[in-house]
Amino acid sequence: MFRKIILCSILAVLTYGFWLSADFKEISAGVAIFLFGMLSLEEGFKAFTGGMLENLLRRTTDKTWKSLLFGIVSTTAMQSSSLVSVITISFLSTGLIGLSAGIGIIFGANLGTTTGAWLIAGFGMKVNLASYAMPMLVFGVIGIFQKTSTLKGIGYILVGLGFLFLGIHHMKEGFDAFRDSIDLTAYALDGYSGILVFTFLGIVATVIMQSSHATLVLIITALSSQQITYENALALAIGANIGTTITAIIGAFSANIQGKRLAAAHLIFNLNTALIAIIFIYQLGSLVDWLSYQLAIDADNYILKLAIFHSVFNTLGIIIMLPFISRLSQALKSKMPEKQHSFVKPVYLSNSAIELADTALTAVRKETLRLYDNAFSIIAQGLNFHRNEILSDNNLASIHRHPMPLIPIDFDQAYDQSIKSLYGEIIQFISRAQVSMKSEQANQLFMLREAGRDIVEAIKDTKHMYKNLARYINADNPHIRSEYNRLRIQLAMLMRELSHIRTDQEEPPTILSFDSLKLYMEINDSTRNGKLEQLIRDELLTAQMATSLMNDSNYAYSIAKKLIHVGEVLFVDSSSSMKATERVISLTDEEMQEIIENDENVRQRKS
Amino acid sequence: MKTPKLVKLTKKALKHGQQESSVKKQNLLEIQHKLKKKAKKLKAKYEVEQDEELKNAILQNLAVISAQRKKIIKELRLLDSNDADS
Repeated sequence: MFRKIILCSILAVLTYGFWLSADFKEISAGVAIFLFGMLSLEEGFKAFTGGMLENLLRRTTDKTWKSLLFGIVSTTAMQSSSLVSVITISFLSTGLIGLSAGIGIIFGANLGTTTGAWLIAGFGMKVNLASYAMPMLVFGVIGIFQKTSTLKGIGYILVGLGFLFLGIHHMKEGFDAFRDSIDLTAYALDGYSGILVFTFLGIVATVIMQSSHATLVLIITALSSQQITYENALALAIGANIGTTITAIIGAFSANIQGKRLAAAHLIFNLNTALIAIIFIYQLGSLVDWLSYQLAIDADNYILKLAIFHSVFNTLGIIIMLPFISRLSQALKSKMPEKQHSFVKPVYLSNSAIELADTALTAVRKETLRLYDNAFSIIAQGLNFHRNEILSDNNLASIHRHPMPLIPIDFDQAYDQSIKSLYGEIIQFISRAQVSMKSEQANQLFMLREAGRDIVEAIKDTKHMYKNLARYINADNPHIRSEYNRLRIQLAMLMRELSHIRTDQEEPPTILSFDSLKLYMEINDSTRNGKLEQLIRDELLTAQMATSLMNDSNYAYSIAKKLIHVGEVLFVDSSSSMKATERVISLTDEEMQEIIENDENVRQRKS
Repeated sequence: MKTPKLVKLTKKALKHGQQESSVKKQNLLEIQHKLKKKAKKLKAKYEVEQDEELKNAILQNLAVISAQRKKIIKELRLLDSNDADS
């Protein structure tokens, strides 16, 4: 709501400004074209971020000086510190680089962005940029219409540069005309009060335009048209340096804590640099004068002197802040701690449990059972059932209604929170425990590890299946809808049966208890029982539906098989000799097939 | 006369084998008893069940139990014949 009010206010002010002054319209159009050029430039560079940039980042940010250099070079090349900071945030979020390296890049980007001032000061005000802009736009648009991403990227870069130059041209034209009507020097203030006011104006202008480049162009054009004094221009440049952090701050809103830390580092660095520049502005001014003299720049060429000032105070900031990168990184980590996720922690795995082999086995079994329970909830939701619905005695088919509301589930988040860390701890415990075990115990441990792996894979299979399941359980085609509902209900029934086997007090689970579930799984496998083929033959499903169903039937079969195996390993608690005997009696695939064939024969005779 | 070591080892192995087969036999009998009880229970459930689908599921369970029991009988016969041979 607040944003909408601000947007409406800005639009109203701009409209009023356009009505009042044609020059204001020209300047605003210049800024708009310039910003659009920035967007096109960013779009163009994105085409090259598929591999080259990432590889470069990885190799060139392992040391602070390297990351600093990378920030300078990449920002100079891209002419956008915002793009570099956004990419850095994304790399930080994925853990490809550390916070210190990220801060180094941001520091470097701050210096790299000053080359923009040089380019604008050196060429922008003297050359008729519009004459270069037109061919760039033409070539760029031709590039954009090409099919290959590289040519498209080059096209966007050319269009971006074209619009940047065109924007600068319009801003220059606007300010040239403005000079006659409004005299900004009338508002200029001397001394520190003027510096503070214009620093603030620089911040506001950059925050509004979200580009220090655009502000610099405004400053230089205003300076070249003598709308502001040289001193005011320096203060505006300092303000622009603070204001430019807004892009990273906005970007960090949607980033993780690492991105937020980087944005904070960016703000701290730029505030410190600005503070130093404001305090020593007169000394820096003298230094700029001396450097200009050494570089044979005219004493009244304030535009180039502004570019020198911009580079000098950013370099000074880097020199002062560089030794504190690791401290800054540590401080940010402690002041902005990572949000503690409610990750499931192991309950039974302890150092004392590892001492005795049997205790260790029991601990792993119990912990893997917890893992199974967590997975049960995730898989249940993946089948669009609540855990309690599966565990109840209600008829699962009757829960089915059309249209069926989808139970929202974020598989990755659920996996991270309740499976990943627990599974990792179990694996770690197993590798420590198996060292002191006899072969039979080690074998049991191996089985438990396999059960854990099956649990994880069953979740992954459910995740794969969920994509189509969510689409088809409410599909208009009744056949595909019915098939997907059948798949999920059958899996839910199997999970319910597994729970019955596990909790049956009268008949404790044995390996043989799972044979009937295996038979149920085989009979209901639609890819094997010919039902799917029948639907395809009768043209009741489209080719896409049939392929999806075939794949998902395989996923469902795989989930069922894995859950049954998990049950066999985790639920059965009889002696090892009894388990061995039960395995001998347990039905083989061939014996199972024989039962299925007999069952089919009986049905055929009946019909 | 002192018994040769090889004979001692053979006797020990045979004894161990006999012990193992005895444990296996006991386990098989225990399983057989449990399966018999389970089949009886399922048959009773089948008689009162009205839902055709559930009736079918019970029949499938019974078929599995029947196959398992057949395997037990086969295993028991094999153990008996091994015992008779030794």
